[in-house]
Amino acid sequence: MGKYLISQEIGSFRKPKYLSTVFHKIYGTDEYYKLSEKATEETIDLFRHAGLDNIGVGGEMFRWEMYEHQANRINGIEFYGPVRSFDNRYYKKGSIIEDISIKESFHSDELEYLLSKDYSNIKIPVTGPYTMMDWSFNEHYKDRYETAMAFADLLNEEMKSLKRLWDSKYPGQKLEIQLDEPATTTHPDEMQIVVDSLNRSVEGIEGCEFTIHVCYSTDYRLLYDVMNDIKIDGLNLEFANRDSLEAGTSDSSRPGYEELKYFQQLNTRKKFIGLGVTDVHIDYVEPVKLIKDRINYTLNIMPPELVRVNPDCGLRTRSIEIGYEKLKNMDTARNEILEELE
Amino acid sequence: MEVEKLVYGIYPKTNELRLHIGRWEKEKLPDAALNGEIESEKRSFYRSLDGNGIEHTDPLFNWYDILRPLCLITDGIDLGPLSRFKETNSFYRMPIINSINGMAIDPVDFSPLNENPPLPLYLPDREHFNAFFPSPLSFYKMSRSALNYDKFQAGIEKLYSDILKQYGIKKAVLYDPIPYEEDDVLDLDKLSEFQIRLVTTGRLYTGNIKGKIHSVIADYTPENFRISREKSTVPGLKLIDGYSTKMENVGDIDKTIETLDTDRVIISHREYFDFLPRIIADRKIELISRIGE
Repeated sequence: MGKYLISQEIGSFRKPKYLSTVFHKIYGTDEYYKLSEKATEETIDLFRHAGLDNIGVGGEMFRWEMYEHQANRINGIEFYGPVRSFDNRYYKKGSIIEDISIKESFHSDELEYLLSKDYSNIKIPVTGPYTMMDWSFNEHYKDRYETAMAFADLLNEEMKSLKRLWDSKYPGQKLEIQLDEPATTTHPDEMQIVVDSLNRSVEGIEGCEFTIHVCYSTDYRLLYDVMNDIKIDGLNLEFANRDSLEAGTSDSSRPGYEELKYFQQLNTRKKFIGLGVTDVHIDYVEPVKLIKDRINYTLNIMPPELVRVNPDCGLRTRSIEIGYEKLKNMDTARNEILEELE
Repeated sequence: MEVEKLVYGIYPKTNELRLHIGRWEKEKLPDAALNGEIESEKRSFYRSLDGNGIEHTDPLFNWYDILRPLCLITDGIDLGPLSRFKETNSFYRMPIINSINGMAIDPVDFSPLNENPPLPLYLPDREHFNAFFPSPLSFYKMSRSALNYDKFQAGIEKLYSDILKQYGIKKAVLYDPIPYEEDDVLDLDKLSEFQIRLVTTGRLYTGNIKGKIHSVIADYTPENFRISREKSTVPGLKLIDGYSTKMENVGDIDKTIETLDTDRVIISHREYFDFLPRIIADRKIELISRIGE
C-alpha cells in the first residue's frame, strides 16, 4: 500500500442475487456462512481488479444493514416492527427495554473468515455508539447521553475482541476500524455526546487506526469543530453528492469540497480525510478527469499524505457493474495523480 | 371535565399494505387495485376507532409524506430533492414552490399520481372525521419558495378551503411539525368558516397565532397551555409520545388533566404515529381511548 492517496471502499457493496434473495431466510445457518463467504471472495476479487488498496471487509456480505446487524446481536433490544424511512422503504428500529449487553460478537465471524484467507489490507466498519443510540427507541435509559454511553461500552468490548483476534494473526500490525456515524450531526446540540461516546468506544484500545465515516450531513462544520477532541486518526466523508459534475479545480467548479478549507484550518492534529470522490446515489459513472479534478482541488488545500480516496458511502445502492466502473475510474484517477506528483 | 381525543396524520401501514405498495412500485399491481387495498385498510382503521369517539383524520396511507400529494395536485408546486424530516431518520421530498394557481388534479376522485400512490386525497369517515393539512408555516419552512410567506399563506389557505368545500368537510387538522420562531404569525382567517384543530410543536409565543380558532393543541408546558386557552375555544395538549415505544400510564395522564384549569380539553399525541411500528401505534390508540373514562 502506498503512502499517498490510499484508495479504499467505505463499506457495503451490492450483494449477488444468490445471497440477497435468501439472506433473511438463511441468516445464521451454515448456508448463510457459505454464501456470505462466497460473495465476500467475489467482491474482494472485484475490488482488487478495480485497484483498491484497502478492501474493507469485502462489501459487508455478512451484514444486511448497518443498524439491524448489530442490534440483532445485542441483549436488551426488542424489535416491535419496521418503521418507515421514506416512501415505501422501511428499517428495523429496535427498542431498548433493559440494560444492553453483547449477545454475540458483531463482526468476529466476518474477521475470522478474512484472516483465514490471509487478508491484511482490511478495514472493519462498525456502527458507532451515537448512531446506534439515535436510531433506537429508548424505554430504559435515563437520557440520550446515558444511552449512547451504554452503546459505547459495548462497542469498546467488541472492538477489543476484534483486536485480540487480529493480533492472533498479525501481532504488532495496526488494525483499521471505521466507526460509521451517519447520525453524527443531526442534533447540533448533542456534539458533546458524539465526542464522549466515540472516545469511550475506543478507550484503552492500542494498535488500531480509528476513523469515522459520516455522510449526508447538513453541516460538516459541526463535526470539524470537535474533531480534535475525538480520538480518531481520520474522517471518511461524503463530498461528491454535494459537488457539481462540471470539470475544473476552481472553487465554483468544486462547491462540494470547498468546506475542506475550514477543515484544514482546524486540523492541528493532522487527521486525514477519506475523500468521497464518487456519488453512490447516481448511476452516472464520473469520468476520470472529474475525479482527478476533485482530488487535485483537495490537494491544493491539504497535503497528499492526509488524503485517501473512496466513494461517498457504501456502493450497495448501485449495481455490481456500475459499482465496479466507479471504483475503476477512481483508481485510474488516483494513479494518474500519483504519477504526476512523482 | 369534558375530554376530547384526537388522532392525526400518517398512520403506520400494515405489513400487507406495505407489500401491496411494493408490488405497485414494481408495476405488478395496477393503480386501481392499489387504491382498492388502501380504501379497505382505511375502512378497517375507521372501524378500529368506532364507538370510542376519537376525533381523527384520514390515516393517509396513500400519502408518501405530509406534503407530497398536495404538491402533486397543485398547479405551481414541484417536487424537489429528498430531505431529512427534522432530525429524524425519515425523509420527505422538498416542495419547490413557484406559484399557487389552484388545483391541477381533482383531489376527490380516483386518480393515479407520479411518485405517490393514487388519489383520492381522503376517504371521509363519519362525524369524527377531520381533513388533514400541513400548516402553512411548516409547509413554507420545509420548502424552497419563489413566493414570500404572505403570498404563499394566502394561496395555500385558498387551496385548502377549496379542497374542504369540494369534499363538503367542515373540520380540519392543521399540523405544524416545525417549532415556531417568536416572530412567526399564522393567520387562518381564510379558513374561518371551518372548525380548525391546530397541532403545534415546541414553544408557543403569544403572537404566533392571529385571532382565535377552535383549538390549539400544544406540547405541555404551563405557558403553552395558557396561550392555547387564550387562542382556542377548546384548549389542547399533546400528552402521548409518537416518538417512543414506551407506553404512557393512563392514570398519570388523567391526573395531569385534572390539574388543568378548564372545562374542556383536547388530548392528542406528539408527532404522528408513522414513526412507530404499527403494533405500538395500535396500542397507543387503545390507550388514548381510555383517557378520561
